[in-house]
Amino acid sequence: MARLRLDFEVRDRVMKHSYGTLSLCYQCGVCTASCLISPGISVRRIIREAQIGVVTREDSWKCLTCRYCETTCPRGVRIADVILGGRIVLYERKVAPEKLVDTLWRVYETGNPLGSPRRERGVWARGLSVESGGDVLLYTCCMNAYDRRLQKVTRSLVEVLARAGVRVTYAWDGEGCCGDIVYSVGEEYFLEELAQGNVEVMERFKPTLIVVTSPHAYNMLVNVYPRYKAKPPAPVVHYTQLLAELITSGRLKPGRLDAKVTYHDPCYLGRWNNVYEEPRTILQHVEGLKLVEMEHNRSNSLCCGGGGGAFWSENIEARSVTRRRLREATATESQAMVTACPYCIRMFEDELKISKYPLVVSDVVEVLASTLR
Amino acid sequence: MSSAHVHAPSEYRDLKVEGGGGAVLVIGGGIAGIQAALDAANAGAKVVLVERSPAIGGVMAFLDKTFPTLDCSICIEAPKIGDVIRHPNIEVITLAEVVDVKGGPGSFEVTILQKPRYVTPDCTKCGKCEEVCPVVVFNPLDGTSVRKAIYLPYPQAEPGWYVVDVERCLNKPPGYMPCDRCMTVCDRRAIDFTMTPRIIKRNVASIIVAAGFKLADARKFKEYGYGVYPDVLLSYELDRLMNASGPTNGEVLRPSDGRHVEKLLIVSCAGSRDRRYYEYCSRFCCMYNLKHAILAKSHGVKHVKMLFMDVRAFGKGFESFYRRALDEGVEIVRGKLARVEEEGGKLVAVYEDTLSGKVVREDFDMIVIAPPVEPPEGLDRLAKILGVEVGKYGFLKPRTPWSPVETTRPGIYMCGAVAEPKDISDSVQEAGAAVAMALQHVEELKPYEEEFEETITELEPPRIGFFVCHCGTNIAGVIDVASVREFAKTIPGVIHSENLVFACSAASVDYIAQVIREKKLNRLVVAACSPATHLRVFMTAARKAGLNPYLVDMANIRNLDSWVHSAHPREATEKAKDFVRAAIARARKLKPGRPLRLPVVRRVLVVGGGIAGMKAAAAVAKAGIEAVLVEKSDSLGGMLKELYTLAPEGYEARRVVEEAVAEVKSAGVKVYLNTLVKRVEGFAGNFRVELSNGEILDVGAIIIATGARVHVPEYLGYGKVNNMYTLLDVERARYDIPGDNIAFIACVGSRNGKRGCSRYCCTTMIHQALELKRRGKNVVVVYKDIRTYTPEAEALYKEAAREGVVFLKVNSIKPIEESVRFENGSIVVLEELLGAEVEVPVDSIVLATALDPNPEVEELLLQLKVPKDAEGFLLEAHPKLGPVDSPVGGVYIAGVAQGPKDVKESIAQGLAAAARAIALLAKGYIEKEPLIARIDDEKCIKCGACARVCTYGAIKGEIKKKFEVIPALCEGCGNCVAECPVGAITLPGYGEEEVLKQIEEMLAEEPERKPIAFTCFWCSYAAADNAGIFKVQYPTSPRVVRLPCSSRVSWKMVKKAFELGAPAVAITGCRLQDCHYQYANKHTVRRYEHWKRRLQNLGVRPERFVLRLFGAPDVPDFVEVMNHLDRMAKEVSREEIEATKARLKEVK
Repeated sequence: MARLRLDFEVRDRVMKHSYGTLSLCYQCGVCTASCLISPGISVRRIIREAQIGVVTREDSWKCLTCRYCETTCPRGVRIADVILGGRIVLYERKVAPEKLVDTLWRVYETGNPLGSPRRERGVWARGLSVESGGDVLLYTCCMNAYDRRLQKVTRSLVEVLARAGVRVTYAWDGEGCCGDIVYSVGEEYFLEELAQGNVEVMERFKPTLIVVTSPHAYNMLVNVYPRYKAKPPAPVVHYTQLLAELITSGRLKPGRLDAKVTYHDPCYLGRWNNVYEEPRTILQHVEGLKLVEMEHNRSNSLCCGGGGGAFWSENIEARSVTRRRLREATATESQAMVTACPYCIRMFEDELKISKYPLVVSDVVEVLASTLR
Repeated sequence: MSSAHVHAPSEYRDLKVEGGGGAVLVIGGGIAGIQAALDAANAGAKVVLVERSPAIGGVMAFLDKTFPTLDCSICIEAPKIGDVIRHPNIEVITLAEVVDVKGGPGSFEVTILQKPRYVTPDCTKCGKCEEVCPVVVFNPLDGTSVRKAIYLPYPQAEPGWYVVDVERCLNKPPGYMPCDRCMTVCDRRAIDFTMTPRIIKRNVASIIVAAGFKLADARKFKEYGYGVYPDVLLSYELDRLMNASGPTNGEVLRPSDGRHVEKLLIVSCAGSRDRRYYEYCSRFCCMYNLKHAILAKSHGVKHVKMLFMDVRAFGKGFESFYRRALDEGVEIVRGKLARVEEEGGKLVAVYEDTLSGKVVREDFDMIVIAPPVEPPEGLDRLAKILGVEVGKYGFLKPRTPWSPVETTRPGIYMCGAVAEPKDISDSVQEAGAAVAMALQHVEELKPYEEEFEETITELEPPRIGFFVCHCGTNIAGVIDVASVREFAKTIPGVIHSENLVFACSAASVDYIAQVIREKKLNRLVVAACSPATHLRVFMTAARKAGLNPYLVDMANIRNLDSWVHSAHPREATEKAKDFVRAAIARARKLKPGRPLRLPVVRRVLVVGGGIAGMKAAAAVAKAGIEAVLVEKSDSLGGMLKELYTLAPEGYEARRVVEEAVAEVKSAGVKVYLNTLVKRVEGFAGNFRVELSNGEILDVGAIIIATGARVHVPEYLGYGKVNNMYTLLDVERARYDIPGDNIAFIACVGSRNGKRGCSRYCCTTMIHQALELKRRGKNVVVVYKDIRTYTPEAEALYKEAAREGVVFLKVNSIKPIEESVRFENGSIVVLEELLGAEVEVPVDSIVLATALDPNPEVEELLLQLKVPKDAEGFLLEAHPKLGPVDSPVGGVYIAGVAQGPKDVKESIAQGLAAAARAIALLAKGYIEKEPLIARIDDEKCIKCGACARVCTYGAIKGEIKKKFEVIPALCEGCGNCVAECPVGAITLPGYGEEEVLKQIEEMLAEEPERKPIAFTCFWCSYAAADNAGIFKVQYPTSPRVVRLPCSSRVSWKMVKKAFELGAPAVAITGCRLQDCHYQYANKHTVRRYEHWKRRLQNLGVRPERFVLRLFGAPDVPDFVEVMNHLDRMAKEVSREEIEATKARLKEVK
């Protein structure tokens, strides 16, 4: 029989990372039975070991940090934070998947996890008039900056904001990775450096508002940075929040699109930050557009399979999660699954290249922009 | 039978409560309210019992069995319901709610709003209205069966009249009356749509709230699929399925397709202990889940699986019940149901088996979930009316954490689940406690004294009056009543014979009284319905006429005849005549009786000066009865005075002790310190006690509150290893424990196969663990199951977890010492949830030790003949309904002497024991029904056989010298009568002679066609009555003989039946554990086995002589006996009968 030694110090570290919820767990196992990639992860056991300060389980690297299990937790344990806290300990002990470590190196060397050159950060904006001097600072995800598919989203956003008369400013190659992946891997020291560096850059623009393109970046800026002594210089919003506000206040009027679509809640926008209604508000204001819900929506939405580093580590179990969501979307007989996160779009579209589903995947702002052209 | 008071149902009466000083209002007619009403009324208070529904009985009336004894629920509750309804001091107001309360303690002015029932007390429960009612309503109780808009809440419901569900009735009185079907078929014209709501005002001295609970709507727990999948059921729906009088007659069938269930999943904590729904533990679900699992197995469900997190089997006898479930093959899996899905038409449960770590997807035929317990509907409103506070979860709030039955307002008390989820026995206990408090506001206790004048004094020769009732067409529609009337006239001694349309109507009762007076009749026999419900009505007729009411008998020709043989009028009439002649023969032998009055000493001895004893003594003294408190040590307070703070609320123990000591003093309790009870003898009402100081005391009742002692382990190194403590040591040390790393080890001396759960320790241990954690220590708790069963305790558990106390789970079944060992400065724990050994650094170890029985009371118990349970604690009279009564009359038990419990529960028990003692002594005498055995000294051979079988120890004497019955102790089962080898014992109405005469009469004509069934009054006769209520048809041939208990059946009776040519004989009675005379029926079984062999030796086939034990709701079992007897009547040839008769003649 295995022999484990109770370690209060490690327990206390993970406990702190979980906002003091780790020890609340009474081991009912609903999380394990609810885990979307189950039986890949024994969530309950990860928590149990953490409760005695033992952090060894490598299956915690498979976790998508989607927090789906947390909605079923009868004790209110912040399970994803327990797992992320455990990863900090694991990373210290050099137990981390190679692909994720490589990704960290790319961030370290190039400022983005794709490994693209820093000077090409602004290529997405080619041909657009991104002014400098606006008081709204756009902070793009590396994916929205470099990935050719996702550059379209960024461009759409700038177009739409221009229509609404919002003057946007941008840091160009001064902008760097938000550190979501660093946080997911548990490299705390690097994260602290990164966060503080990013905030410094932002401060230079003296923005009144920071608009982010990725829910992951949103989460980092709003929830994680303050834990690493880095406080963004202005209120941070996800662009769907800003657009919804512009629309409901009448400053932006969406056009018409005759289509039936369904909306996928990104985990980091929904469960992590409780932004459920704003993206829907935007879609509902598009004339002719019919918005239908999937079986799982809002707080119990399913995951795209890309979070928690899964996007970068070729997590095989995650693919079944992606497909499950596509099946649900298909069942609604929508023409498109609309979402608001770069990871979600890439996960779904990559899967669509292999499996056939009668769907297209689109970003909320892309839909909106198309009605304005 | 013991409760055959001679009164009309109490709802007829308008209780006169003058000045308000003498009455107690009880709100809620469930088991807690029933018990409170009875205890208060018996103590001499007038009681107004207000019930919202149409009948009293509460949830318990609908349950199949109760845990952990698997007693038939209604069988043990019905006698109490009957006692309430018939009690002269209790006014029952149903369909009513309290709408206003003015005044204060000692003089509350209560306004009650009663909704119309639309059915008058003239209702005879004939059921015709129900047949014609066109409105079918799903029974909200089980969701599967149906009832009509006019209905009877349950077969034994009291008040026993139908009720119109006006919400569903087509009529909307008074304006809109399109349907009159029920009214046209009602012969009694008992349906009255002109009834209007009534405002009733009552003045009372105090109020007891026993409003019960309700179960949460399980539809909101979407993941379990209740309300979506038809085969996901709630626990009580399964309970109904397993109930013989439920929608499937006791078969576990799937609602979706009616197929038998082979695989059943029972789910605990479905919404309880869950931050999303209900934070607290619903306390009694674990136990009823185990009960359902065991019962499902016995109902033929092959695979029964239970999902749980902590099996909270914390009560007395619960742990062995848990082990029994395991032994019977129930698979108990640790986990929580994640969700229910449907897959390929099958119901699939998804959960993690947390001990193996496997995620399981398994299909089941049926999934049953245990919904959380909520405060009853409208409790917030009621609380406002009463001016009392509710707590965090909406239940009533106690005045202080250690006052279990006090609300926040003086004069208003509470008991049962209205304060927090609670099982039957805890509720019953609190009912007594609430009464003890409520009585303190009652100015004067006036026990009801019944007086009547006997003007008819010439009792021999018998002058019998006979009446046969038509019961509308219920009897007359099948039985030729005229021929029965004429037949009775031919029987010698019958002076008057007449038929009446409704013999029980008030007018008929007056008429019968008039006939008795005019014709100077000295016996009355009425052929009508069941004596269980109506004998008291005809006894009233006798009383009115000045005839001793014990000279009345009935022939049950409705429930046992016309209702069950409706297609066979000729045979039914013949059977009626047999019943009538038997009743008349018995009546001839009846002797006048009078309730016995035994004087009592109005003084109570309380043994033990701990918290339970102090509370008991003070309550007794406050009720005006002298209380003597004897304590062996030099101060009061018992174990409590050693404690520092009390879990879960964390208040100072000292305050509770000081408060109680002051109470004892101010109440005028006589306290003897450094004193023991040396010798005790006597019986209820009259004990003589010798104290160690030489003083001799006469007392009427004794309360044993002798406490327990802390288990001292001789293992785990206690006493040898440094820095090892018990919970009590930690209290004494004021939580000042050395070292940074502290480990608590639970269940030391508990749950080890020999002993059950010690109940108090989980909460206390967690309380200490949290306190130490807050003092900056690292704290680990090693446990089997966390049993924090109250809302406060569960919150404390969560708080301890939140603060970072580490909980390590070990095997639930093995003794704890097999799961923990020491290794230089650490303990090594076999942790089940990790499947690994966990090494825990420790500086100090705290053992949560059991409470062991107090060995110093052995001698006292022996002298009082108070038995102990399997674990050595004091045995209560009944684990559900008599938690503070010892099996010995006049001796009550309280506190941890009865079994481990916490301070609050000990206080409740102390108060409850006081209420029982007060009720016993309130009148100054004990009144008993005259159903008491008597030994004829001349015939008696002084062998002592009777004394050996008496389960009450009511027969005293010395072999070869003399034996006599102590009337105070005899309960009238007749067990001794059957045992006596020389027929020297008689029992009024049930003597050997009376019963033999009945058998002779029943077999007077064509005996070879008439098998005999002996029935016990409480179970099998009640089942026969219920067969009638359900109109279940069975063969006409068997003849039924009613006895108090199956143990009354004697060899002479069996022999007589066969001798006279009966083709077969059946003895029927309660199940062994349900016996109403403390296991007297185990003698039935013993004798039956003996007689069966004897008869076999005489060539009687075993099928001709059978024994069947079943409960009152088990109509199918009764009918099966009837079918069997009928088969025998057809099968057994005349030659065989003649041969039996010839062989029996040779036997003496």
